[in-house]
Amino acid sequence: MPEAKGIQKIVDGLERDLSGPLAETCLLLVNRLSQMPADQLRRLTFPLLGGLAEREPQDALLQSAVTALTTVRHNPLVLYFIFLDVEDDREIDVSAAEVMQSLKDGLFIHPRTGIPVAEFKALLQPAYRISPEFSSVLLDARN
Amino acid sequence: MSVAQAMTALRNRMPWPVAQKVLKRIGVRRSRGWDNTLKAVNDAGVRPDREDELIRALQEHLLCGEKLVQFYQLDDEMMNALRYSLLLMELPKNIFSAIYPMQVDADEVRAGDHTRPVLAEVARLPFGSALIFASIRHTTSRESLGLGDLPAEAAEALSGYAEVIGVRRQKLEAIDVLWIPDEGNTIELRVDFPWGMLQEQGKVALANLAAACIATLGRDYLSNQVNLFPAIQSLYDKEGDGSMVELGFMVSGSAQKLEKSRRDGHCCRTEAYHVGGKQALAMPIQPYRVSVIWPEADGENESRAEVSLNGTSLMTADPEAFLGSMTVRNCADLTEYQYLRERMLEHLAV
Repeated sequence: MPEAKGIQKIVDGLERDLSGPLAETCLLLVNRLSQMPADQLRRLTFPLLGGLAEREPQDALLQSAVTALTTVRHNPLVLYFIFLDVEDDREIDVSAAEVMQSLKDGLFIHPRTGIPVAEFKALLQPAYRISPEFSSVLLDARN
Repeated sequence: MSVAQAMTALRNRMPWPVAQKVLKRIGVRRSRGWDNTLKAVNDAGVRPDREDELIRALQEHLLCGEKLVQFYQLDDEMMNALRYSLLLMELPKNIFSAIYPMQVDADEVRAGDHTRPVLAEVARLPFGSALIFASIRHTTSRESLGLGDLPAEAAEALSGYAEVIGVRRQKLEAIDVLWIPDEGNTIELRVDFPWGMLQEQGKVALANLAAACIATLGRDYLSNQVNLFPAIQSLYDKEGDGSMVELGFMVSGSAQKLEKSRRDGHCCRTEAYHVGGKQALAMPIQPYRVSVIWPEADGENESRAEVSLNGTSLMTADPEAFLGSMTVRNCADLTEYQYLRERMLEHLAV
């Protein structure tokens, strides 16, 4: 079945490149995520991913597994950052590349106002969404 | 302290719905609104046997009404030392301690000096003791203005706006408290937090109070602040424990939700739209802001005292999220406050 192939391709890659508890945690996450609707996997936080992997959000293995799932070879997940627009009490998505550049430069431009933000690190948190490829796999599976 | 002074102080501090309940309990005749009630009391007076109760109501409200609160956990040695230090505490002479619980006159407030909290009273009370600090606080609040209240020309000029917000800067006498319970090792800082006061100003007030406590006690008892963020999830999970009248949460699809049900006090946790929406989700919701009332907190009448834990949505993505303070509103007296405190401590597991 095509859907099995799509997910199986990700699973095969993880089993080939990883081993031990790291591989087990990655496979558990992929397995659980693959059972969920793609449109509900846009803001995956460490507390949520920890719940799926049955690990504490601060757990080092969980963090390693999530990082592994965002690498080029295995990319079911995409890292991005949430910026809290305090005045508007809303979140704005910021790409990981932009945040990395801001950390390097020590300068972060407010996405809405265009003005530099002081103490910007406190207003950013990492989050994950499923990759377009993984999303396609899930959609194919449902079709 | 005269009845008129107590009534004026209450009028300056107490929300009208709370005042109605308190005045009814004491047996003071209420009229429509504060102004008419003050006039009625000034005209007819208060039965002598009710005067002490009125003043006690003010004293209790000074300690627990409209507060921004932080909890601190102490070990046994520190707790014993703190309780012992209370026995030795000498009340300094200052403009506040000289007249407490009366408030300083309007000229002193307008002058705007005495901005640092100073000790005004040391009180032994039901459930614990309080170091009571007073200061003149400069506040900024944002208030909605009705176009009908503005001069015709201004109202016409602003007629295109759905809402007009005014920024009010004022000075007021603030009463802040270090609460030391008779039981347990969790102490509290409480600062006055009237409706509309900005959160950032509340945080500054808490920092100033902490500094005043350390200076007064000669020791830092405030090194271990309690993180309130875990209580948000705990409160949400415990259906039937109070009524959740406000709930802000994130869902994994990235939508941000804010639900309110203060009008009838119905619990957001069990409200049909919320329950139905949650059933459609594959992942748990992540609450970050809750307000809870416990109608039974008063013991006799229905309580509208409300605890609010106002985290940010960003905290739901932070594995080590820390929320330092909570708001307590509509609390009528120490008995009600104690009930809220006990519920919160249970959820904080301290």
